[in-house]
Amino acid sequence: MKKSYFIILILFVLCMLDLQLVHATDTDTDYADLPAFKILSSPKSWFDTTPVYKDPKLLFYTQEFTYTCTKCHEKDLKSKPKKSHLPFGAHLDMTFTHGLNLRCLNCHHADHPDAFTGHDGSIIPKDNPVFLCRKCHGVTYRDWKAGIHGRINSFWDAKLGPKKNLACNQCHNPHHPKFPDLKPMAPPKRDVAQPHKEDSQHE
Amino acid sequence: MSDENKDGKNQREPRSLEDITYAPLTRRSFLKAGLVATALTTGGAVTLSPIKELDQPLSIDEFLQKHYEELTPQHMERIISRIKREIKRDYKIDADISDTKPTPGVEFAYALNIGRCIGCRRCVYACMDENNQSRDPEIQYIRVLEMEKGSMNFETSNHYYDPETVPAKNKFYVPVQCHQCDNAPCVKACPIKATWQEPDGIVVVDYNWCIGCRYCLAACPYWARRFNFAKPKIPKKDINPKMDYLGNRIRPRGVAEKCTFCIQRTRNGKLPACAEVCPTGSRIFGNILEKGNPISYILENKRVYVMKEELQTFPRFYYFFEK
Repeated sequence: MKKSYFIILILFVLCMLDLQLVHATDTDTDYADLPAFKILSSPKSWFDTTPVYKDPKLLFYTQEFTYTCTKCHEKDLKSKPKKSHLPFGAHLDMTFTHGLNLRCLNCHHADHPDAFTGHDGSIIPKDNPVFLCRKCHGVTYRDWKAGIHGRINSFWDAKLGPKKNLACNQCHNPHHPKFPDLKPMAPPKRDVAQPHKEDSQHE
Repeated sequence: MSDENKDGKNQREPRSLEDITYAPLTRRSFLKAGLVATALTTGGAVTLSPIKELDQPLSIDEFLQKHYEELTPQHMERIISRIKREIKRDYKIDADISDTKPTPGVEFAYALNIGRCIGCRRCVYACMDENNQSRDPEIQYIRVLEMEKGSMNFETSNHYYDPETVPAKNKFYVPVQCHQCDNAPCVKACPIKATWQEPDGIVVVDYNWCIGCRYCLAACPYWARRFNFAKPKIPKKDINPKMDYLGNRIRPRGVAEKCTFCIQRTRNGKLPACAEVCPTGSRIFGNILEKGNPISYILENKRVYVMKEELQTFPRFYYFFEK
């Protein structure tokens, strides 16, 4: 009995190693092809302006999508994909908590992988995810267009430089759109010793 | 005692000035004079001792520098080259110091969405990186207050919160920084006009003019001003070489400083550092006089809240609640 447990353990470790390898090979190729996932970088800045984007389940994939649909679905999303090389099965490493919007083809175009679908089956190019999200989130889209939802980067003055409105999927994970909880940065240092503990109750 | 006084035995006789000045030198008067002389020398040494503690003696140029509003471009050029030399000497950095003037037709305003802020403090550290604040002792312009949901009581807020993840349950967060008030108490408190409001709405400090009395720190109702009790310590690699005379140039010891909406960025059309890093996009900045930009949209369409409105400071910093 103990031997079999051991074998299972070894298999599991091998599986993990495989995962890491897949990840390593995927990053440098496909990542650059996806304009929507590209991270904006300001010309020379003294602080990190990388948008926060997290998927709670994508632990082995550095919490970012590093592969595209066409990796497996060569022609369209309806036909059978070529053999998956993802060890835990495709799509299983993602979290799907986009409310009631649980059907893949609500957003992904059935005939054109790597493109999104409009209400009438029209194609929304993959680098324009805003047009997809506004199908349902009209109020947010209005705010985004006015510049008060989502972050704007680089210039406030349009005469001096381009305003960069971040697209929806640069901050929100489309499959898990709730903005993630973050670890706060360190609190300010206290110069003076505190006379009371924080929990103590004054009466 | 009283009896003796009445008798007049011990009462001193009135003496004329001549008697005192030309009195013969006795043992008592000699010791008295010596005592006075010693007191004067020690007292003088104590009063002048701060000068000895100066890292570098005040240069004549700096001593004779005029008020910012009286400076000609030639003066400014000389001052900037002097400050560059000082920074090179003290921090081994080739700084690029500018003195960008306000653009006509531009008035800045800031809006912060409390409904979306999660209190992650990214803005606080971006501000430190951009504005060359002292790392030790630590100076931060932005304070993020953690508040109980359903209350707006700043007295019970906590700015030392440090949970595993934010937002914590039943809390909301209110970042506070300089509100660039139109009727600024700090400007009124300054006895020497070392701080004033620029035409584009930014309240600035001339660090060379400030005498360090800290009246402005006491006057500010938002606790937005900081004082350099020590010479700023910044690691060389963290110094931002793009500096402005009224903005983020490295401050000398003993002067007040404050948020300037990143004057070195915003006067060149860029957004302030805190707005650039906010991961939730809660911070919105822009020119209030321009139609159709985000900040005017908010002021026209959203319900905004002004902190401590009853003080009549008329801030340029608005809070609004929007999901």
